[in-house]
Amino acid sequence: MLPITRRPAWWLLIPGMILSALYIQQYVLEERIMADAQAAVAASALLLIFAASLVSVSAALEVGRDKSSRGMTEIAVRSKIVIALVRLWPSFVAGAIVQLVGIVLLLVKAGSSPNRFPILIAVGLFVALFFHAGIGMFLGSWMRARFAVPLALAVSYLWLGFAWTFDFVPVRYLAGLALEGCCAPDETVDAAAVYSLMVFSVLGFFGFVLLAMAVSGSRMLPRGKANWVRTSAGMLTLIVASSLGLFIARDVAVSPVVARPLAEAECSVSVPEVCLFPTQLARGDTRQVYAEAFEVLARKGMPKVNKIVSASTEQVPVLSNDGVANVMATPGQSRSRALESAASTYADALTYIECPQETTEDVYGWAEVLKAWSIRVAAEEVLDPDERSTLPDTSMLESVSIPGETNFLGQWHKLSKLDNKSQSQWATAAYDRLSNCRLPVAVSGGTK
Amino acid sequence: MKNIDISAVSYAYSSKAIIFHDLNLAFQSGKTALLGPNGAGKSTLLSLMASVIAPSSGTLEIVDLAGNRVCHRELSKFRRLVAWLPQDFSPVAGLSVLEHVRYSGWLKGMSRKDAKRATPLALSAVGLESLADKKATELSGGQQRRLGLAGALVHQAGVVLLDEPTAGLDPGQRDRFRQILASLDKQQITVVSTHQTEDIDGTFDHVVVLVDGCVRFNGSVNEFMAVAPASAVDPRDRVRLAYAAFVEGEI
Repeated sequence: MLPITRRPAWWLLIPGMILSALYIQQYVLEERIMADAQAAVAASALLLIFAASLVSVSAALEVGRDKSSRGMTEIAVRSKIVIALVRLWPSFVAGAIVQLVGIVLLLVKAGSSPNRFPILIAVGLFVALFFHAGIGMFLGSWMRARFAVPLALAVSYLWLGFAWTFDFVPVRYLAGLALEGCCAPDETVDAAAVYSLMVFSVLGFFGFVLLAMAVSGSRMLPRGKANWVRTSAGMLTLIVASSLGLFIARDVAVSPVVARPLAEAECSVSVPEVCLFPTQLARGDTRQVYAEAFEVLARKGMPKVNKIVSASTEQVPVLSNDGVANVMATPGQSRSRALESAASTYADALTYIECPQETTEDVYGWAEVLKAWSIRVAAEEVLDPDERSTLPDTSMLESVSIPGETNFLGQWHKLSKLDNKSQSQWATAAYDRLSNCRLPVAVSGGTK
Repeated sequence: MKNIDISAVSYAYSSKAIIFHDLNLAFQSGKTALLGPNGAGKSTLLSLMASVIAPSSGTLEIVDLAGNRVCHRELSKFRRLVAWLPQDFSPVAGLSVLEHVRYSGWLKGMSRKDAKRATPLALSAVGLESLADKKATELSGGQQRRLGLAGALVHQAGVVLLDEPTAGLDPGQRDRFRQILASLDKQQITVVSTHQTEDIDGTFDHVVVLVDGCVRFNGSVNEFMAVAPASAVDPRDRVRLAYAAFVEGEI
């Protein structure tokens, strides 16, 4: 009924899309979402800052237009909900367009993906906009546009930001921004986080609609009673929305993810067997590098690994007693990065061992020496010279050295000067000792 | 419509600001001037009749020619029968004159199609058809009132309630409004609150005088003017003197 072209939401649409595009260009790292449609759509949760602000501001402006008029809406026959929907649909659509454009740009940035489009996350983010329409409607009904508009912007923005930083984790999922934490290639979204967002947003919208009706004050019911009933119902609905949302998200972790089932991984026929998820293989298959690196290190005396997976450490330890190694594998990683990931496994496993506090720093430092050795010996046999040049240098060892005590960089230099056999003997002995929270014997000077 | 019955209606803004206590009154079809000093309760009465506010007790009923009654508690039905132009009418921002009247019709329950069809007639009735594409908020004060009237009339209500529609208008605009009032259907119940007693004779059929929430007079214009001293010959003077007599408590 209202003219489609002259709606405040459309004024804000282009700026909203431009801001989203700039944000994606500037702040979203390609590596984080590469070949992963789920991570790309989840990353668009951050764009709620623009889409939700657009929705709340335009809703406040729309509702403010009726509020500032006199003589029409007071005795309307149409229900307030119907009028609100006629008023608010452009806000929803414009907000959804901003979110959708962001999703499309992120999917383009992510490139082709073996994952299916994560409909649940996308729907969750669109539904989140209802809550912000409710904020705009309530404030637009309550106060003049000059106050309602900046306040709607501030409340939307602050709600998103406030919830993001809240220590009680389930609160984060009520706002939706925290969905951005989904997902590494070995993870998938925890549906409870999205359901929490959806339930809270829809119920919250109705809570704000009731509050809006209370403050806009239809006086047809006996004076006072109507507003009291609506205010109470609105507040109660918001409380129920929050409680239900928190209940649904009660078991969601700091990141809204669950481990991807290992059954989805694709395993190589090599020895050791390497199992990576399709996303990790979409930009190049590095399974052979992993297999070769572990095979080389086993030959040098390090514990033998039978199977290599890439899963969350809660699902599989970094290095299990039955010879399963859990490595980091990112889509599109180079061979040298894959080798570094494989060869670091033994040192990384040591950092998960709980040792007495007085030895922790030393264990960490010695683990770094072991890591440097593992990477170098594996690289010498697996990578060609060009690939080896991209490996990290050993400057890290200087930073972990303890002044006046152990100079780990010096120890590394001494180790490098030993012959290959002595190096392997020292490394395997050091790994055994460190696994039992005992510090290795310092490297004695020697020649290659 | 036959009449609108107000039975034992009470209304108070607060315990200290009681406007009506057990008010009984009926408005018949035709045009009724609702007179009274400031604070008499004219706007409150029109707001009650328009269903903008609800009485704390009592009922308001609209009775059609067949004797069917619609109580104010049947809100949707009641509102469909009422057109209302408040004293402080202000248009909805962002709409043209044409869109404004269509939106009014839709708010009153008309389908989009019916509202679209009825809008040109309503605009023509108030002489705004040439400004149909102009932004509603850019109209002059008098034009905005006419726009409000067009919006109120678009759904062919049986009861038309106008709260001081000519207050603050220049003489030309007032004349224009009088002409529009004169053109309204006599079968409608039209109640117009006004301070301008010179408008009464020739425009209205009935007069109600309200003072401090009480009805001091309810009758025809001729009966009302008969109260004036015989020495007054000019009908306008007779209306003015009669009004003064009621308001100042001489009668």
